[in-house]
Amino acid sequence: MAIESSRREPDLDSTRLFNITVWEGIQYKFAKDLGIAIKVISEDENINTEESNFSDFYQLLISTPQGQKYVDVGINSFDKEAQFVNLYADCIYYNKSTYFYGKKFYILVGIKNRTPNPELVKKLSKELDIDYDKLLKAYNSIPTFNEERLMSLGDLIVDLFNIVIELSVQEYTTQVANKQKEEEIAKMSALMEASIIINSTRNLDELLKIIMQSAEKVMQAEASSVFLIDSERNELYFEIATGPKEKELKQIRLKMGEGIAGYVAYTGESVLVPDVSKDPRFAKRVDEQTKFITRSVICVPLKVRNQTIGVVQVLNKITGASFSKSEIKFLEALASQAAIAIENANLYEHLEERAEQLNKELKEANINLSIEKLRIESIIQSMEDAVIAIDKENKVVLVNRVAEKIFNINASHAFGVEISNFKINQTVIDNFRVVLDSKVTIKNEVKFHFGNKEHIFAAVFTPIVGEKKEAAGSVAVFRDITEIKELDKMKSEFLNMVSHELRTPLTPIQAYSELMLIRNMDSEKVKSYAEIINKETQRLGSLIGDLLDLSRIESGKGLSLTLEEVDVINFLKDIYEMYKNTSQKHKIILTVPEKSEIILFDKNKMSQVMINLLSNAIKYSPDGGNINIIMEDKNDRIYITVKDEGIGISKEDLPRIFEKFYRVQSEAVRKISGTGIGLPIVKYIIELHNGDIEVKSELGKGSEFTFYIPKIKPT
Amino acid sequence: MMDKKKIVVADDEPFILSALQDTLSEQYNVYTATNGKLAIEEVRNVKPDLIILDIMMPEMDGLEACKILKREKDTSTIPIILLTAKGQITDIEKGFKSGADAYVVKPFSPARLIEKVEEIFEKVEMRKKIIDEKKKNL
Repeated sequence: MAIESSRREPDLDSTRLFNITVWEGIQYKFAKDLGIAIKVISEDENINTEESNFSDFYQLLISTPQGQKYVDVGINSFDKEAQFVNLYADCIYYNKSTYFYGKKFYILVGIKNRTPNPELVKKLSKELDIDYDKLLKAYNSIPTFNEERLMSLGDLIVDLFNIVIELSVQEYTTQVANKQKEEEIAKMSALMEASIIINSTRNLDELLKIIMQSAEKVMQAEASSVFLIDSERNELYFEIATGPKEKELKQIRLKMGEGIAGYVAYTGESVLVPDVSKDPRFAKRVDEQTKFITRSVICVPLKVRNQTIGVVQVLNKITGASFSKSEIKFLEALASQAAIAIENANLYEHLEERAEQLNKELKEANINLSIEKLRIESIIQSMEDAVIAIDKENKVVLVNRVAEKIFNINASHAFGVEISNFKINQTVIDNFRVVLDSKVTIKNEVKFHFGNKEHIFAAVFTPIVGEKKEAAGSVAVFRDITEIKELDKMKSEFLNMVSHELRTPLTPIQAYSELMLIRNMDSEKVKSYAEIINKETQRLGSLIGDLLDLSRIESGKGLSLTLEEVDVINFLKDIYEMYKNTSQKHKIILTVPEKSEIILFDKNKMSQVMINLLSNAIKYSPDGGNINIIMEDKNDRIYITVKDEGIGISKEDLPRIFEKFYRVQSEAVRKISGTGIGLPIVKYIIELHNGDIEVKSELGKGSEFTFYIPKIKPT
Repeated sequence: MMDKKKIVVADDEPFILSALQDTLSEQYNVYTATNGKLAIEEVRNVKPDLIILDIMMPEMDGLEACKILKREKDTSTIPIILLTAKGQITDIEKGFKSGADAYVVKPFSPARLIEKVEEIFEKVEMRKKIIDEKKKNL
């Protein structure tokens, strides 16, 4: 693997790069499979290489065959300057230094030497408390290499380390991006939470407090408060204050326009003050009275129907940083929720007067509710996903039809029975328990058997939270994603094959064009190189043509035919001429009737069909043999057969070979490149001509593709 | 004058094989094979200084051929370059496990390929020297 010398070095915190575990995983694999220890040591003490490395070589060697046990025999010394370091009697190290992101690293690769040292094995067997013979056997099973091989391994690992660093940088960058996303999500969910509380709690004080606490949590603030305007006295008073000085604050009143809160109440505009000591609007009086030190403030108005009724104020980030502009938006959103809460509370006062009327309405609502309940139940029952719900005692309260089928549970018998009594995948039962205990949502993939097949499900376990925030139960929804997963696999295999197929003709094109540029050669050679480039360009063109055809078929646009008068025998003879010398291992035989027919079809598309069938016949008979092209003229149809003596197709695969992207999953086929789009296009083109194609085949004996098209005579 | 170094190259695509041959034959003696099995036979006959194997080949693929060659005493020290159209880390890992010494990704640049080949020959020389010196010191 070539190392790019002009590697881009982004501005990253290099101490964090090595905390990413990509390297450790690969390292562990090397150790496990090959008995090699890799140690990366940085000269820069700030870079923590311990975390991404196993602490010592012996620990690895011994833990590998044993699987679990780790032991520390305490050898950590190494000589940076030496080419080889004999740490212990029977192991050798290869040491190489390299630079990454401007820092020097030493990469040590250790392997076992030719023979184990019986003394050391004895010592280790004592310390590990493992039978001597067993340990010696495990030790012997580690492959040995000579020094030359070790050095080439060492070089390769340094190459690999470069790649891993690249991956780490990529992963680090996505982690940074993900973190920003998470913060956004935290803000969103705080807002959601606030709006849920507003709709469920009637106690205004408690409600405002909860809103302010969630603001503090998300914004990482030290304190927060809600002021309301007393319009009779033209003053502001603390309705709610959280933080250390709650009691003192409640006794303080501010004049309209006094301090930052007064300013916001007066103007109705939000204000962000990064440093209050530099802002003349700040009222020192409050800090002096409460002995609180305000550093930075965000203050937003509370508005009901465009009228300012108070302000919300958040003070001091815990981290010492100042607030950001995006946080104003968040606080404004929270303030509008708080304003709704205050208004709701005011309305509630009037509600009591209407209690009687409400009672009446409630009865109606009850009827509506039971209708609603029925509706929701029928939705859950008819869902394509499986749903199971349990109460806080782990007892089943709901099983929908799909769940009955998948888990083999009878819903009417299941009700009130503890979930662990059913024969259900242990992961599912564990997940239910975790959700109940910790009130978190769990999303994962679960596999289980039903209907003679393993299915993969995307499962979501959500807690049901009661009014007092206690866990009241849990709901799990399972969606069958087996097919999606299969499609996904087929898609990535297809992309892999396409990239391989595209690179194959591209390779000679690049190589020969570069040779023409950098070498002096006679015109004959230039011509022969150009011929190769030309041929491979045509091949690339036809592959891209196939891909475009497929995407036209996929998008529903379809292919259109350009019919012309064609002499079928001449048409086949041309194809035969084109192919007769392409392979030395194959003999191509063309059999046609005596009398030719002139009929209408799309000559280009039909050539595409023949080219696809013939290249398949050649490709899938790697040992060579005869390839027969047979034309038959029967009544009103022309039949054409392409028959090879190659590897053949199994009974199981036969019905699927015309599916797009489908490739036979056998060892023999895996080694032959192909995209799985040729045959679907062949079938499509033949059907477009009102014909049909079928295939006969036997494994190891060859395949026979026969298609017909109706004879349409030119008028 | 020193003998030309010998290289066995294997690829099932005729034009890629000829491109490898045309690239390398000015400086080296090049021997060709069209699958893993034939490549192994060629290596046993020719005893080359370097082997270049395509990964995806019929009969026997490059990874398998590489594994077999690295297991055999006579051929285990001959450096192997794997030629691959895929550049993913899993392929590199597989190649590493089968014993390959270096990779060239398709499509390749002839000039870079020659550089890589020379780099490998230099490394081999250097290792020989170090080991010879060690032996002398013993």
